Amino acid sequence: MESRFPALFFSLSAIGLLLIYASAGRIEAVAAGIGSVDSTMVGSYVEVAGYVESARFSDDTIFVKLSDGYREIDVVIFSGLKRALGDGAYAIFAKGSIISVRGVVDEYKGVIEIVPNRVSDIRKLAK
Amino acid sequence: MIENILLLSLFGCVVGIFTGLIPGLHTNTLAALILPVYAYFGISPLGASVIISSIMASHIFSSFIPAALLGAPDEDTALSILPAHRLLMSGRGPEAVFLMSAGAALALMLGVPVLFLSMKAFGGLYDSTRPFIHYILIAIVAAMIAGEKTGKKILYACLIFFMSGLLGFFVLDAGILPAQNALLPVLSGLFGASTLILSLERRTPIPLQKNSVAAVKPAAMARFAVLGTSAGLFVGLMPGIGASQAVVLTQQVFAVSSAESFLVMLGSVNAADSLFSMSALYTVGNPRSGASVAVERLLGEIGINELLVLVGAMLLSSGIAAFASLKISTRALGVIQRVNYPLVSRLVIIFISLMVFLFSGAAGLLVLLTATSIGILCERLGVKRNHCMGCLLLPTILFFSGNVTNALSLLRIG
Repeated sequence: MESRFPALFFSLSAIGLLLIYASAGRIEAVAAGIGSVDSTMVGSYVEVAGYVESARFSDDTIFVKLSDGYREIDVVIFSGLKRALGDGAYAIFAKGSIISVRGVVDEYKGVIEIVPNRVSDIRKLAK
Repeated sequence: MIENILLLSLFGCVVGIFTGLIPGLHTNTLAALILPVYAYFGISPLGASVIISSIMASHIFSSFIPAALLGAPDEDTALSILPAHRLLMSGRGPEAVFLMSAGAALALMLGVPVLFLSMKAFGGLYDSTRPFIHYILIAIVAAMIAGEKTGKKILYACLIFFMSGLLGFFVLDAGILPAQNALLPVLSGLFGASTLILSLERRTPIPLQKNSVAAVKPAAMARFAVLGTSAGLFVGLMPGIGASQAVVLTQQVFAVSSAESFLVMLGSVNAADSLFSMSALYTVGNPRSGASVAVERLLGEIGINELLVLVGAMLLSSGIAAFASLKISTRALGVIQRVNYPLVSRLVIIFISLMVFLFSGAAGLLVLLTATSIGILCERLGVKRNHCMGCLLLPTILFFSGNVTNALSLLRIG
């Protein structure tokens, strides 16, 4: 009886992980206007669209200012995603490019920012 | 002015004592609640910052009580459950709370002079260690797993590490739960609910609790407090690493084996982390905790005068909270011994589940159930529970090595 228990809890754990994995792939980002993203949405997964006001490339990170013509929001691309985007990042984040970005809303030093994690989180809509 | 500061600090102390007794209620949540309302009460930004710092300090001490006596932790006290539970079941419950509180108090006494004497070095310390953090963590994980006694146990330890690591990765990086509520179901399941279910299974009644003398000599207590303070300094400066990871690192590097020493060190790490993460606003110019983010929004950049006021408020609040927590824990034990402990355990499990559902919905309950299963599996396989810290260590290693995106792509998430 005792020896069956590890198998039972292993099965429960494995099934739970599979269900969580399946739901991770189905997370829908909430479409939001740039001006509506604020500190109450920290931790939420959102999608915003706008044009690239500016993009600053450092060794590890890309700092993008995205604007809808009225308000701006910071988008931060960390090293892993920057590497995955490769040289294509320069075209995507060229000044004036219209892009949509999905990512988690974060707050750093009092400034709201969006942090995408996947290449598929960034789409160029128009030049 | 000084009278106002003292009163506001006392107010924050009382609030923090109360909130620390409620598992799942974090100081970051309270700080976010204070920000929009403080001005309506005629409180200055500095006054509001004093309240937040005092809440943060007193919350640490009272949060030891639900973790040690009920098995209901928050993310910073999760690892205390097993050693504290061991002491509780040998009739030394008050000693568990005393050891953690003593560690925290010693860390604050040690940490304040360290802070003011060496603050200029902190920026350099952070910059020089950041590129190597993931290598350090990988080495520590390898040492943890290799510390199991047989080849079979090493394989089981790897299994537990990767299962809990996957769970942590899905929750923290794949975004299935809001970031600010992500850790409650994971750590409550891995360390809290699983421990309570196992104790229910054994039907062990809680023995009569004694006011026992701490089994750690003062010199040893000071040594573990120094270790904990150093670890707390390290994580107080580093983003992405919390007190729990620091405790695991220190335990492995310095071979901390006894439950009593571990609890002293845990208390020290938590207190030192709070002190250094708040003062990181001044030392490295960046906030390192939700509470310090709130203070930065209130005060902008802080100078040495503001730092002195905030640290002073934290010390005052801590002193009162340490004393109050010991009194509360003794009274709480008296109540617990008179009631049916298995009933208390069941009620705590229900309470944890309700809190998880309230903050994270059905997805949170699924995470809680999975985490609980992994925690029980760990015990069934006979390997150390600290391998479950894979839930934080694996995502941290991926973050510092810049491989979060690669991992998401590998698993075809998104």
